[in-house]
Amino acid sequence: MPLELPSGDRQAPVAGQFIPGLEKLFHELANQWRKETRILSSIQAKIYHRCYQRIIGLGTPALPLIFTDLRDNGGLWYWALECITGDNPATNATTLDEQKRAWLEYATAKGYLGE
Amino acid sequence: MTREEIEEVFPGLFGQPFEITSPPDETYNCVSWSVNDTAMYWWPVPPGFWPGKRWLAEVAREETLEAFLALYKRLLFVECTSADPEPGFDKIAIYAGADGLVTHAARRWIEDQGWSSKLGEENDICHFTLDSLEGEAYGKVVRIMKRRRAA
Repeated sequence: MPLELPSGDRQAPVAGQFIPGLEKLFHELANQWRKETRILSSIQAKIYHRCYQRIIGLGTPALPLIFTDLRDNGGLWYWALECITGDNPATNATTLDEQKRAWLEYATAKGYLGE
Repeated sequence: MTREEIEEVFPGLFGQPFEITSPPDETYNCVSWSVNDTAMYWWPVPPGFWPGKRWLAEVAREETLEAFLALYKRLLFVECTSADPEPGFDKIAIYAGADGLVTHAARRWIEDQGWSSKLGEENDICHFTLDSLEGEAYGKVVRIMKRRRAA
C-alpha cells in the first residue's frame, strides 16, 4: 500500500480551538487505537486504523492532545501530525528519539505544549 | 502488556505455558527480533518519512509474502517444511492474514526454549507452539524458514 501524503496547500494550524467533548473523544479513540494495534508490526495497519483516521479528522483542535499523548506515551503519531499540520520538523531525524524530540520542540514553539 | 491482556488478544495462549521475556519497546518489532536487530524496526515502508525503520533496498516495499520471503532469502534463510528444532539451524515462522499480507514473524533460535515473538511495539514472549498465536490478530503460519547458525 502506498504511503504518500497528499500534496497541495494546507492551512496553518491554529491553537486554542475548542470542540465540546473533544478531549473525551480523543482519549476514547486513542485508547481503542492502541488496544487494537499495539501488537501489530504493520505501520500501514496502524495508520489506516479507523480510530487513527478519525483522530486525523479531528484536525487542528486535536493537536495539543496528540502532542501531550506523544510526550507522555510515545506512539506512532507522526503521520497524523504531518497530515494535520502540513509540516514535518523531523525530516533530518534518523531515529525515533530524534523524530519525537523534533516534533515536541515544534509543539512547544507553536504553543501546542506548555514549556 | 499483562499476561491477561496477551491472552485476550491471543486466545490460543490461554491456559498454555508462555513467558513474558521483555518490557514493551517501540524501537523494534517482530521482524527485527527474527533477524536479531533490535536497534531498528523492520517493516516495508517508503524511505524518508519513517526514521528508525529498516528494509533492504533491493526488496519490494510491500507487505506481501513474496516480499518477506525475498527479504529473508537475502538474509540467507531458506524455506523448509518442519518447525521442529534442527541442530545447527535457527528457524523463523511467517504469519499472514486472510488477505495474504504478512502480519508477524516468530523465531526459534538454537538457544531458545520454544518460539520467541516480539508482539508489535509491546513485549517479547516465549511461546511453545506456533498455533498459539494464530487467530484474528496474526492469521496463520504460512511459511517456515531456516538459516544455518555460523559456527
